[in-house]
Amino acid sequence: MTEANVTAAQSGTGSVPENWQPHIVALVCNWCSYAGADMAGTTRLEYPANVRMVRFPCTGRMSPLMILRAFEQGADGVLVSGCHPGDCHYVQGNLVARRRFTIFRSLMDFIGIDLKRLHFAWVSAAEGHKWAKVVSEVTASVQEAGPLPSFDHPEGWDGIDLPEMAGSGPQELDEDQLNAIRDNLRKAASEVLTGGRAGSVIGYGPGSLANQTIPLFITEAADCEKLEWGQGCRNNLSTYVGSALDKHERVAVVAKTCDLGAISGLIREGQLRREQLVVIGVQCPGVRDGPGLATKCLSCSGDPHPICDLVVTVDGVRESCEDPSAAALDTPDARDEQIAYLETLPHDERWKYWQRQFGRCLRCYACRAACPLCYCSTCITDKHRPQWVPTSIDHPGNSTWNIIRAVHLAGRCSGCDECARVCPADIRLDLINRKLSLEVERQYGKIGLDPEKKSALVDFRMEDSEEFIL
Amino acid sequence: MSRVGVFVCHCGENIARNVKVQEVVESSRDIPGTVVTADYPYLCSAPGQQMVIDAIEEHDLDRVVVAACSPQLHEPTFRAAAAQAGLNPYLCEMANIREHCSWVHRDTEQASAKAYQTVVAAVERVKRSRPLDPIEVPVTKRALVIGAGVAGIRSALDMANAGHQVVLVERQPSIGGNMSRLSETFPTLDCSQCILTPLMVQVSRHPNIELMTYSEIENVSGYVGNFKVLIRKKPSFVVAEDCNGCGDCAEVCPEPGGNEFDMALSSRKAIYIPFPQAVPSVYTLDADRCLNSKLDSPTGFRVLACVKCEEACQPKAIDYDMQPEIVEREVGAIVVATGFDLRLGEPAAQFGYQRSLDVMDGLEFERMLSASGPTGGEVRRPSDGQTPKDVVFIQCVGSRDPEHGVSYCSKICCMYTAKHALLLKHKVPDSRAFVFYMDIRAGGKDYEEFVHRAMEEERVMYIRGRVSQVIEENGKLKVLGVDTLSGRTVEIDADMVVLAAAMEPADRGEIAGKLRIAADAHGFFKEAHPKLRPVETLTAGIFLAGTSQAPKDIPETVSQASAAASKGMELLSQEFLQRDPSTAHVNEAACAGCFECLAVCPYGAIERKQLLDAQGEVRREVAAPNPAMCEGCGLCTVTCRGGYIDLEGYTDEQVFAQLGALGPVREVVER
Amino acid sequence: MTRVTDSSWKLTDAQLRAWLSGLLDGNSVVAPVEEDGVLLFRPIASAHQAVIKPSGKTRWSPKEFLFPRSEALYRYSFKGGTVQLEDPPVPEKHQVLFGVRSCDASGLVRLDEIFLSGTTDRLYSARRENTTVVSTACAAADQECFCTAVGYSPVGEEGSDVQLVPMDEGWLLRVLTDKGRDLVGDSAEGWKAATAKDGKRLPELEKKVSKQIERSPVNREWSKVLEEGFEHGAWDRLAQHCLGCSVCAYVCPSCSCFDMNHEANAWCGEQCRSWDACTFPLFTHHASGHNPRETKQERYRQRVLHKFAFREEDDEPFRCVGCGRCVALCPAGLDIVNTVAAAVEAIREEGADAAR
Repeated sequence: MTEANVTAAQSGTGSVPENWQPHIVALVCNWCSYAGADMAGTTRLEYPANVRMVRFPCTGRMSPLMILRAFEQGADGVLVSGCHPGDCHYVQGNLVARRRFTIFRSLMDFIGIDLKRLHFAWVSAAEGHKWAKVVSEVTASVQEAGPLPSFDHPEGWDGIDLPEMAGSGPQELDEDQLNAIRDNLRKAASEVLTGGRAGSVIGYGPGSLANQTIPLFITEAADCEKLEWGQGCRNNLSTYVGSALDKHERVAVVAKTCDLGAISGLIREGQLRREQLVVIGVQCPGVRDGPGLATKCLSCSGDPHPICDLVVTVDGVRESCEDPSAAALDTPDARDEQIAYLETLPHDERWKYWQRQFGRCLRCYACRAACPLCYCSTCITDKHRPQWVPTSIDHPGNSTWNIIRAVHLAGRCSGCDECARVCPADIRLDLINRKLSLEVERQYGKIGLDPEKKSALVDFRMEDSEEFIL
Repeated sequence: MSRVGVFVCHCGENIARNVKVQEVVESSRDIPGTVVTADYPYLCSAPGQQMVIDAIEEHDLDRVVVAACSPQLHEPTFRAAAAQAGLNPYLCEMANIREHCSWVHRDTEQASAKAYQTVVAAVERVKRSRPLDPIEVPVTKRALVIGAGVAGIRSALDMANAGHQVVLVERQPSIGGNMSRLSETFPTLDCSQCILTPLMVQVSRHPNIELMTYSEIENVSGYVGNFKVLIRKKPSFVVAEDCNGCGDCAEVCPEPGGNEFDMALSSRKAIYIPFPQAVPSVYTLDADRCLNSKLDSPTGFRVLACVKCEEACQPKAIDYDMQPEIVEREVGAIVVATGFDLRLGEPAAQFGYQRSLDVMDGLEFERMLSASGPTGGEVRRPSDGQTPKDVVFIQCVGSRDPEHGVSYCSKICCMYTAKHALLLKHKVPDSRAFVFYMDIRAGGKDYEEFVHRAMEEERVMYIRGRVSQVIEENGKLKVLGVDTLSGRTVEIDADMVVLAAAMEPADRGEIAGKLRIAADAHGFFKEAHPKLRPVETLTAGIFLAGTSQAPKDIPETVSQASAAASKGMELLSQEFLQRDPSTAHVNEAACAGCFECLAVCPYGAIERKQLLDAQGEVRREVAAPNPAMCEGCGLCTVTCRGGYIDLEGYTDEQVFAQLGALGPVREVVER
Repeated sequence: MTRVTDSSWKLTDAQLRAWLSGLLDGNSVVAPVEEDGVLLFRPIASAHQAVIKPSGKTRWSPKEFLFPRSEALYRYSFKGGTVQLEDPPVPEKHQVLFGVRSCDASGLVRLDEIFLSGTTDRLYSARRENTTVVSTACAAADQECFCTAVGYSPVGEEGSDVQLVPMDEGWLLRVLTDKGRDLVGDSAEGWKAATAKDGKRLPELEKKVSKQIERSPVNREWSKVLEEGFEHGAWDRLAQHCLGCSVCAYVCPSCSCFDMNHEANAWCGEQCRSWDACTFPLFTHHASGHNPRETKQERYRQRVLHKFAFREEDDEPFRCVGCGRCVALCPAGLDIVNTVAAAVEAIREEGADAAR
């Protein structure tokens, strides 16, 4: 038996077949919405037959990956429904889920999914009428949005010119100044080793191409002479701290300002303890990306981060360590303008922009490998049973991969932009991660650098916003 | 490969009217894994169920899908039928084609298409179901009651009387709590001690109650049915079995100080008994007051500066070398009854609480009224011992005051203020009592009448309005307030002011932390559901009684204590607890130990488990959900980014397969 | 593929464009295009989209047009209670890869050695048959190039059917194979024949580009040294900063590993193969749980040796064609040639068995 519906994958242009019916998948919680739907049935209310239900114990069990799979499998719309806040059978499932949905939804919007396709509702066991109404409204809304645009390379599309990013970056340092910092750094690192403060220093050494450095792992003080400092020091060395701690009790790491947000996150998530680190903060001239400075540097002062143990500047080396709960980095970001610009574009333009980007994705996972906060022993994308992230290196699978990585980083990403730097396909991962950072901040406030504070997506407040929830 | 049976119900006309049942049955034959399909007018009927049972046996089915009404209705029915046929009940799934389909969609084509797809999804799901058995948790047949005020006493007695072992822990030297401080109780004016002491004695004599006073909870680990509790017995330096309560020691003790029981209105010695009717009736040497503990000896020996009590003690019950003792008890259920304190912060200070001796709180006034109190039951000004003539009572001191105090109402103050005023008039007939109030809350049985008695019979003057200041002037207390009903300011030169201070939980988070139970913003322990589960917490096996959960009076406290006891007995009366097997499981080899799952779990069901290497060294910590505590919400499964946690009964594979069945039907993978 | 070198012409830029335009009739033409600042091979719809330059590589090789990132091996659906199999669709048009640099063309031949020898990979074979390669020799090296250091050449002919050589003005077009001759077909009318002097351009470019590449050559003998020093401790430190991604393998013209997976739902599915890389931790992870390449240093060593050792005959070329993309794009800055040189030095100095 085949369906009466005929769904055609169209790319947004082109005509919709006359009797096209949207196909909608609903994820519902057992205690409220499923029972509410039962109530609608008992009351013999009539509503459109386009919805297919999946039953869950709680909205807390519903993952963005499930919503993405529904779309990948061809659904034109998805409805997620659960208990009203305060009524969750499991106390707080819907409250944690509410934050997840808020962030996921904002990302889907950003990458060009018309939100007429993605709906969230609170329907209680007593609200049979509301269920019928919600399904009717959602069906009409998805009907209006039309068939799901295809996950495809946009043919014959000229692309978008994003606005130039403004900002001057850190103060310029001339060669003498950079050499002075480098010499101070070598001295500081050497003393860390000879003084027994750490068993290993992770820093930057000379690379083989111009303006390139590579990570160095130094255990002998004499080797500190190999340390370099300059605009080629691009890597976020905190990625290497975990494996270094397998061999040494304490590790020293050379850090630019942008490298240190990740360390707070790693401490917060139990991956290392502050006492295991000696952080050597260095005055930074900004890092090079092609002919100019990297985007992330444009709004940065280059001053060493507040949370360091040693601070290396042109003038010398000093001890420093601030209470992380007091420290905050309130830097505006040059990328915000580009994000704002993208958000002025209609959804189908955004969709083309991001499909073109995701189409280039090779699934090399350099983004994941370079990210200090991607420390999972096996990535969700490697999970075969079930295969949430399709293995095929094409548009739907690539979209799912990049979306889910961004979702997993929401509220945790420190903005070091390593992912964007290492991407061989020049995908603007920095824009996606920054967009979600902004959204988390806007909705739930800044966590700052204090590792004691809970990260936004494992926390909740009764008064979290929910204007989009039906 | 599974052998699935698909059974489609007509439900009379309920389903068959709008869903083409025969077509659904026929199409279901083609679903991979389906070996038998059938339909029936009413599957839930006895013959209908028998058909399913017979089919399971005849066709050796290992999975069953019943396409019919909502599982909320008949899942237990069909699961029981499956079990009867020897099939694990969790391998039977229902597809809802009635409430979600035939009853709400009139177009037969659309309804039938949806019904068929729903069946396919159910088959895909059930093929990935695993046989599950309810999780059996053994129960230790002993209860722990924390706090021996009237709530703890009542709970302990109820459970002990039912034949269960109870460990009752109290941190003060005597049981009785705040109720033993009261003079008379509203609305009956029963002597508080008189009604409480018999219960206290019962506790001390009960063969099933192990009473540990002057003891505190050190640590609680484990879970419902299997708690391990460490209790610290503080050294009293008096051997309880030998002490006969004669009081010779106290007579010779040179160190007097404030008597906490009397709210510091009287004094006691360093070695003391809190009040005459104390249970147990033994003396306690307060290490903080005793001269001996003030000596630091460089050699590490404790040089005894004063041995007067030891010399005076005939039964030789004093032991200066007593050490704190930590004992371990295993219990199956815990009742928390830690009671309340009065909150005397800024609002009380505003009325001169610290400044003037004649401004006191409700409990202090109780002691004054009490025959065994510091004044022998006579109402006297603490400053000069004179009998007060004008006494002002101020209600809502700190309560209903989100800015300076607490937002909630402390519930009992209206009643005890009326009582205080009434008793004052009894004891000092020519005195005048003024009560400043915002509202009168007298909702209990005979409460309204009691307040009226105070107002009309005893002529207590009730002024509706607040007090702005209390100024000490020439030995009197000038109370400046307002009477909102007349609109006039009021000035009273009072001899004494009594403040109905807000009630706050005595526990400052210590017990909450040790038991891992939640407390609200004010520190009151959180009940599982405010209406339907008022004596349970969200931590299975831990129950609440008394004012530690919320402000309440004695009848409510006693009721709640008995309710908590009954919940405890529900647990203790079983050999094994049966818990739903839909619980979370962690892949320990993969877990990165970020413990975000622990942060989101509403039940504190995720434990930190240490993985050891071959030498027994700790390699790392991983998350370990406790199946006895896990309620199966699945929050942890989504929080875990790597996907290392799965939920039995709603596994990732099941959901994945369902989503794969519920998209638009396609003949070929679109690329 | 017989090499025919006497069919050569000189073309102006305009003539080249016109020829390219003509090729679009009846062929699927894949050429370098610029997309969001990245130079990539893509099917083009018109000649002006193509970026054909005297030098400069695309971000990654065009191997995906013979060996797609993902392709279905077979498809199936569940109908009428049975499984219905079907072969994946075959491309309809002939494919022309236009503007393939010499190193990338060599890469294709390295892939042929894997996919077409022994058991023929029928999907690859069909695409290869169906493809004609128009290569472009290089007038300059990119910063990271080192083809001449590993035995390849900026003007190399292997893997190419028609070679375009950048002249000071215009291009020299050389037909190298019958396929190339068929592709040129009648278009040569109106093109000027090339002279012997034009042909001198080839050794000129080779010399010029070799000079630009400031790397010492990798000696063929080193393969044996690397193999003997397999257990040497140098590998531990040489790859310490490898992050375990697969940029190197995926941008590489000669890497060919793949994984196979089912992607299916309740109605239909396909067995699909997708690129995979030996640098990933799970690549050699056995079903038993054992992984013979447990550490990333072992995995990196494997990749290097696969490129520079494990050759059956001494005169076989290195599988690394010297495009340098892995060096330019490695997130951690690993340099495969430096690694080989350092490993060889360490093995020779300390002996093959020097401890880890």
